[in-house]
Formats: sequence, C-alpha cells, structure tokens
Amino acid sequence: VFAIKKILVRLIISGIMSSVGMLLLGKSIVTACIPLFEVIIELAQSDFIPVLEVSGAGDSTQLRMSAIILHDIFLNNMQVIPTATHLTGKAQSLAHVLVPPTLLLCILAAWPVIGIKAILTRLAAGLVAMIAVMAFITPLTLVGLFQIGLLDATEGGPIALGANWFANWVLFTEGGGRWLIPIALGIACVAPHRFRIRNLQA
Amino acid sequence: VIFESEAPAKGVGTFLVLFIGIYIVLYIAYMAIPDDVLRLTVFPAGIVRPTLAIINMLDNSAHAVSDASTLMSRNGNLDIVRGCDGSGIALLLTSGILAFPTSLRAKVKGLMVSLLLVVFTNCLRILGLYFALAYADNWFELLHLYIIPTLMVLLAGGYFIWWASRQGIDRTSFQSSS
Repeated sequence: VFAIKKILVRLIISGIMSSVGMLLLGKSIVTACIPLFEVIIELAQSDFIPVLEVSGAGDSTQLRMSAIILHDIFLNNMQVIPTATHLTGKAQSLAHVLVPPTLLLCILAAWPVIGIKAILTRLAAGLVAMIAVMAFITPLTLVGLFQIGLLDATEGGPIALGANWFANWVLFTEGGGRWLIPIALGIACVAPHRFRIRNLQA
Repeated sequence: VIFESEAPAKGVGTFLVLFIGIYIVLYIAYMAIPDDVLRLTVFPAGIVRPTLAIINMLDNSAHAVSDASTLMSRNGNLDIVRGCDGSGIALLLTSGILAFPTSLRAKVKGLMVSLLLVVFTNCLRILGLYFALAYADNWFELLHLYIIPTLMVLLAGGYFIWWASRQGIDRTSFQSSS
C-alpha cells in the first residue's frame, strides 16, 4: 500500500534526478542516438540523406541536420533544388530534444514497483518506450522543419497548414504532442504493476 | 482506500485510448482557432496584461508595455505565440480528467481547478522567462526549452495523480476482473 504523498514525493525526486541526469548526459545520449535518428529520417522520406551532428556547447548545444538532396526538388516553375545539393541549417536545441525522454524517465522512476520480476519488466518496457520516444519525436520533427523550410521557400511566406504531413507533425509535437507521447508510453509501461494507493485521508 | 491501481490492464488500455483520443480532438479544436483571435483577443486579455501588471509592480525600472500579444520592456521583448499559453498542459489535464472513470461532478471540479492551475503556472512561467531575459539571459534558453516545460508537466501530472486518488473509480464503465 502506497500513500499518495509518497508517490508525489517520488515524482519530485525522480523529476529532479532525471533532469540533472539528462543535463549531464544528454549530449552523449543524443550523440549516441544519431545513427537511429538518421535511419528513421531516411525511412520517413526519400528526398534527401540526412547528416546529423551535435554542435555547440552549454545552453547553445544543438542537434543540427544538413541534407544531401537525392533528386531535383521543384519548388515552383522558377526554382529547383538540384540533385546532390548540400542544404544546411535545420536544428533543434538539445534541451528541447531532451524533454520527452526526461518525462518518460520521471514516470518510470516515480511509479512504485515491487519485486525483481516487476523491476525487470519495467526496465524492458521502459527501454522499448525510450527508443520509441527518441525515434518518433526528434527525427520526424527535423524532417518537418526541413519541409517547412521548403514550403517557406516555395510560397515566400508562412506555411500553409495541411500542406504537409511532417509540417503538421512539427505543429503537433511543438503544441504539446512531445509531452503526450512519453506520458502515454510511460503509463503503458507502469500499468501492469498493481498495488494499492492510500487516500490522503486514509 | 478509494483509489486502486489494481484496475486490469484492459481498464488502463481504455483510459489510454480515451486520453489520446480526447487529446487529439481538443488539439484539432485548438488549432482551428484563428491566430488573430488568439493574438489580438485571448493572449492580451488572458496573459499579457495580467503579467504586465505584475512585472511593473515587481520591477519599477521595467516600464513594460504591451502591443497585442507582445510584452515589451527596456529589458527585452517577449512575444506570446500559439503554444505559449499553457495550452499543451491544459489539453493534457483536460484529456486525462475526461478520460478517467469517475463522476461528471468530480470531472467538472477537476477541470475547474486544472484551469486555474494552468493559468497560474503559465503566468509564473511568463514572469520567470521575463526576469530571466532581463537579468540572467544565459539561463533563458534552458529555462524556456527544458526546465520550465518539464516542471509544468510534472506539476500537472502531480495534480492529476492527487485528483485521481480522491475519486472512486466508476467500475460500471471500467469493468474490473479482480
């Protein structure tokens, strides 16, 4: 039986520890994920080959993507991006990239778990969820940012909503979807672990 | 004991499907609101002016003024855009509360407190970002992109867990196998 206060305290402690851990190790974690990101980006589209790198230091550390164009991309009748062009410049702040894995880690650590078998189940499910969080949010957002760049260049103005799946994905993740995904996966990971929670008045 | 997480995986699965489904419906509804309505009406009245008053009260030297959804001062400008309004947290809390199997009365109460929580924490967020911009701008990016969003989601999660723990699960809508 767990008191609700105890769970809230665990949430605070795991929040602090996950955040500090991510701030200390985030650059190494994201660097290690670059091959995964590149595979996901290549699977998601066929316009370019991505080249990712983590650059900068401290607060200005960014995950930067450049793109080698695989075939002529016609922006309009007048403009074309020729094959083999090397486009640069799409980037996400490392701090921004680290929010979803931090939230997932918080949920996995905060929700009580009893017994070796349950702990191992939690670890296995958590690992799969962490890979899913890393695979679905950042790489697809970078593709979206690239395509928003193309749409901007095409129209010379703000993007047209609904014009592109990945552009909409960027809006969805930036509008809160990047929190929804780790929370939903986190709940799915901790759901099998049954126990009672005592009411505050109990 | 009024809340048990002994609900079967089926119950949690139903909650998750409802939670995500409601979130997406609310997100689509939010995105359907025209930018001009948010920028010229909602943000100035709901976020910019109240925050402006607090900034000028706390920092006499700021001489902060507003222009539509932009907060301007001698220390820097903050532009409130779609997503800076706490909508992400509001959508998460609303979806979680609506998806949770409890009475309508409890849900309405939960939603009202959620709304206050979101408005209050978002106001604190804007204030924090303003003072970071004004007096510790090297912290601005980290606060804006990592620390504050994480804190707000954890606070919302903490509130949801606390609220849910006080509800009796409606076992007619979530059949328990235990």
